[in-house]
Amino acid sequence: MAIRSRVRSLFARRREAPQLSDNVAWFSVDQIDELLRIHRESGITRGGDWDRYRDAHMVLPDWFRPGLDPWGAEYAAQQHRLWGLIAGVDRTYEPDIDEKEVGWSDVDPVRQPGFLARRDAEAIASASDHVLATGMLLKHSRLKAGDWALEYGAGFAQTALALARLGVNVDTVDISTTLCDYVRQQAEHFRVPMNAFHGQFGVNPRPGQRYKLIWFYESFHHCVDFMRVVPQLSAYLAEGGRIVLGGEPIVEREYAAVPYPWGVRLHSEVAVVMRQTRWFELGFSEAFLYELFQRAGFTGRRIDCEPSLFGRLHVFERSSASD
Amino acid sequence: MALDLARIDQFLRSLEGARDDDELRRLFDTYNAEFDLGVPPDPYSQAYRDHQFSIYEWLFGKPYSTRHEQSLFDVASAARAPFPYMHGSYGTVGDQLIAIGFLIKAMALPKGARILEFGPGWGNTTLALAKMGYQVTAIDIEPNFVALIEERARMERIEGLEVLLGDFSVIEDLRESYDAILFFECFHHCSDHLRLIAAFDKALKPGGIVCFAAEPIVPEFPIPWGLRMDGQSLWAIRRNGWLELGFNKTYFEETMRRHGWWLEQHRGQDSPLAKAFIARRASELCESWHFGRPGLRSLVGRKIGTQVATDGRAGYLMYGPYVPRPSGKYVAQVKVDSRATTRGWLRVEVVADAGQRELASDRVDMKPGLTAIDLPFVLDTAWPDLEIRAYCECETLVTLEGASLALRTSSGGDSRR
Repeated sequence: MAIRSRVRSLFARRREAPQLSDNVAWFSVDQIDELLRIHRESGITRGGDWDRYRDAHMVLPDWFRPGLDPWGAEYAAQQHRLWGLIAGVDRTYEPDIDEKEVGWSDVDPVRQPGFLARRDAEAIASASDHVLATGMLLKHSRLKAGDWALEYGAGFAQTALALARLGVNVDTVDISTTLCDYVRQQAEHFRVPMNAFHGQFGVNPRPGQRYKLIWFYESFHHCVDFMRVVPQLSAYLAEGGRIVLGGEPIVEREYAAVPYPWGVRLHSEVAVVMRQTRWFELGFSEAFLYELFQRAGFTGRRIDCEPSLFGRLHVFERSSASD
Repeated sequence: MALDLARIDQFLRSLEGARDDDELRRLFDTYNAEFDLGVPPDPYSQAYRDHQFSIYEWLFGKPYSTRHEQSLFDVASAARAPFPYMHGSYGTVGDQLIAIGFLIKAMALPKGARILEFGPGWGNTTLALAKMGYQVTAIDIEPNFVALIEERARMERIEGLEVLLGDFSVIEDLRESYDAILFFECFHHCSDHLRLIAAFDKALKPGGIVCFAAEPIVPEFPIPWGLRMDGQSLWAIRRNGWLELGFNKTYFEETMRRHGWWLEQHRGQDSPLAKAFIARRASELCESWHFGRPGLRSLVGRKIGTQVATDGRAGYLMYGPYVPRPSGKYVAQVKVDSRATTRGWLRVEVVADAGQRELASDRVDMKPGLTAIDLPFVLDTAWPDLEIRAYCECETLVTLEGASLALRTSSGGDSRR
């Protein structure tokens, strides 16, 4: 989770990226192992060897064809091939295998959940971003005690916990059984109505239940099957309910890190993390994302958060409800 | 006294009909009493202070005492559902969390820093800071709050936390020194803010900061300092006897400046509580670096002791030190060894945001006798990673000693003088 958090914070910084210019540094896929070595040996402290790659992005391979239809199978297949190239594997992506959490030891999910376990300055900045983002989600949740809410990719479920402490019935879904167990420990400790379910994005944890809020916090960009998942969500959403995405790498315009409507992010640190963990690290252009939800019957709007891009929310409601 | 107590009491009675905390807060915003603008001219005088406390006495019916700053509640139940969770208001909890995240980002303290927090109340900031690994000493005047924070820390297994009973005067007797002093919605309860400000320097380590978070320090406050006249403050003063002061921003900046502190303002848009002033010692906003200590580096130069000389290659002869600075007017200086032979030119720059934002730049011809290149610049907002860099061409010949950053004071000089 520490690495994941670091990668996300990097995206938060780079989401308002400059236009492509001569100042952008580049690296090729053949250099990823070298990047990984420097990252491991020297870390990312300024003034060190990582400086050369700090703001670098990967050059797309020769076989990559820009301009394909982002809604088509060919486009998706090309992104999967790109994932394999960066992750260093020659097989099909399997979320159950490739989205495993980083191993921890001696985790205390109550005292030091997730991002609070590390204590360096960058981790603290990241932790405060998460606190702030939780505040944004609560403020714009439009929930009341007794409502039902569902979080996908909950991780340590700190936003879910805040909602549950206010009396919302929260279900969380995560692909990691370990993280589900951490969520249960917190629910028991705080005696709150929060229930963890093991599963992939889009699973319906409680058939028949309709949720006033379905949200993804820093997780939607791991939802590789988003074209199937997003249309499904409508069936789980209560009347007047909303879907909220927070802390996601959704760029206002395509640039070197996300040079297409959707796909693998190409920043140096993301490449290092993908090579290490094999996670599928997606990014989306805002225009593509909003069309994705529009095709599923939703109208979206962005709620900005001035001090932290982690707090930026994308709120989707059924088009008929927002008219 | 211009205050109409009958109208104020009528307003306070209207609050009794509020169904919940959200409605109470909405009703607070429906009333403001007029300020008494006939204050004594010198805000630092005893006459001014007496005037403000006479208004307090008029409103509450008794002279001010710190004994009035009480909060009665059941510690055991509040530990499980403290404010703001106790009211079940998503907006209020959201605003609090946004503000806590905001202030931690604004303080940007290093790992394990020691923080002295005054008036932690329910302990939400205290616990958040301790959870992040900071060593927090929290001081509150209310025994209930001390007990509550200890109980919450026990429940959440939080370490690195010390909670003491006391008032603001404790600061004068502290044996330890801290990296930061924090006030979150608390400083405005201090009955002698000048005495408190005077004690900051002794209580803080070199490089220490004071953070005034979510405090009523605003440019539109119509008098230098004094009791606030908004509905919520009047309710707090008249019903509870709490001291609810406000400060004009210009007065506050001047007061801090007189004590040697430089204020930077941080403000968010998403919560009314996401605002903070961070004070640093003005004397510490001047710093120098040479090539013998971490901070400054060279991509193309040849290091000679604590200096770096051109080696015939084009590129960045100097870059770094990536230091944070609050908003203000500065001068960056690149120091040149005037004894060494010079030729060609240097392009010197001050940049931020990993080089994405240029704040100042100049192309300077290298002439015999040149000792320093000054680059004045203005920071509209605080930046965490200021960089001074010097680019040379192949034919350039120069030896650099290092660089410095200094705050320019309002008189036009820099703070090194």
